[in-house]
Amino acid sequence: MRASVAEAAAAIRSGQTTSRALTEASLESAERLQADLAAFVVTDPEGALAAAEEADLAVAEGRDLGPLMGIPVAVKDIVDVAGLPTRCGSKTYSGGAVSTDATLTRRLKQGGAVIIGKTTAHELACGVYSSPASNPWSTDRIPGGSSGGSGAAVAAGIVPLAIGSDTGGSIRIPAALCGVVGLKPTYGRVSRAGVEPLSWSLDHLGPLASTVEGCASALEVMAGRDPADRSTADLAAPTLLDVSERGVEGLRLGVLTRAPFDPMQPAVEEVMAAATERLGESGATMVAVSIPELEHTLAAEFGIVGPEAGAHHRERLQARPDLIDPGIRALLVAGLLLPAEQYIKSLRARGVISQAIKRAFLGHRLDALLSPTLPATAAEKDQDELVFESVAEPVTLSYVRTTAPFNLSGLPAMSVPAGLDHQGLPIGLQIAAAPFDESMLVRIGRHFEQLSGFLELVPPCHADGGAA
Amino acid sequence: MDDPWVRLVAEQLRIVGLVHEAFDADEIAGDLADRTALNDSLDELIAEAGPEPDPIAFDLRWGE
Repeated sequence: MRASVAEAAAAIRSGQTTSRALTEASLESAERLQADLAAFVVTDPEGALAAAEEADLAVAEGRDLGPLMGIPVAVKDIVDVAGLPTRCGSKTYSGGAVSTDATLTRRLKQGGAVIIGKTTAHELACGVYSSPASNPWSTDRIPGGSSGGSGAAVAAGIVPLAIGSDTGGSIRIPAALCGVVGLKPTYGRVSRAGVEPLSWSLDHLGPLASTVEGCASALEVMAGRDPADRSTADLAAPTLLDVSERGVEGLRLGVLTRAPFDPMQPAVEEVMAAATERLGESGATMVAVSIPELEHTLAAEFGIVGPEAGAHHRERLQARPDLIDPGIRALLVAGLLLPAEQYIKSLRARGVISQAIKRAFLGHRLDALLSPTLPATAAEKDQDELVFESVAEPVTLSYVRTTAPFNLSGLPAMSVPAGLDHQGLPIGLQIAAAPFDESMLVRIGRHFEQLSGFLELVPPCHADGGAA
Repeated sequence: MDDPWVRLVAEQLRIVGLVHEAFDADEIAGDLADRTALNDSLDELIAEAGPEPDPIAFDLRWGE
């Protein structure tokens, strides 16, 4: 059984445990499992224990620090945390500790979070392998990426909550592969000030947690307008937890079919069929939806990421190209050399894709769209391709094709664990909603989480000893 | 390097300051051709969308 953010916070508030005890346990398990999972690039025992003692003092004095009061949290190593370096999984970053928190970090701390350390990211937040991190369900497999360390840390029970970023699926991919919940909010919901960019118009920040409620608690704290990031929407932080028990009766849910969601592994297809059947039995109306424009997802996504990432990393590319992975280097170089017209074309295509999704929502009167988060379970660490119906496809493209539609459109999307394949590897259900309707994700996700029974499952590599 | 496309890529690399043995113009030229072909696949999508789509992509205020 997984420890949730709410349970941990309640236990701290009631005196059943202390933040210090939980933080010590997190730090101990992070260290103990590091050889197997490499989920962390750095931990901060001194800072974390000081913050934990502050939380415990607040409890003793009857002060409420917020929904994350005293909860150990891990942060992807592209987000600035004062006192720790930001390295982005790249050898090209050699600076020391940063002096200022990202807005997101500051808000987490204000909400009571205890930051225990920073998690492994795929190099430059641009990939799905997150080497050297491993998947707690099978340590010879990838945890996904680029927020792979965050997914692994939550799945292994080291922390109940971690922060990730998502440019083409980098929260939802590790969430699905590691069997945790990952929430990519609407573009503009969460400030990116103090976070290393990959692609300005596609980057999103959000939580990965052991439960839907954990993601909701975190987003309530993280969200809101930030003068330091002009892309943030002028909206108050959402109230999410009060919708979490409303069920799905009366909702209209679109089930996405054909490419880019097809082809998928048979086990993914089976789990998706079971998921939609259960939601239908709970009173939701299921509607098959095809959006042909989404077949162009990868062309549009990579036509935007290349130029934006190339522009951002140009000096790094000029100075030490030999320290950048050849595949990422090729993307950055292409972004600098290809005609600007190709970037404009990709932006236009994004507009067409966004409007097509909107038409599907409005035309079918949908409350949400459903799809498999990914067409396949976790690849092996040295695996380059996945095979669908005898056709090989690069691992990265396989994973990104189902998640990137909601980066291109900016719509909120969540991955919720839905089941295991025959090898015991997790499969995720992706739920996408209308702009700024994260409460719909929480409502459906919470209901589905209770239906799926996945909360009872624990991976073999776990802080508490793992599955029997 | 006899290929004019490869020579163009080599010149482009120099212009944008990417001068390092890690940059192989031959290899990059092939990669750029693949990426251009993928990008060109968007022409049909855009043409079918009717009036030229504005590249300002986000539409997040459906209620307005």
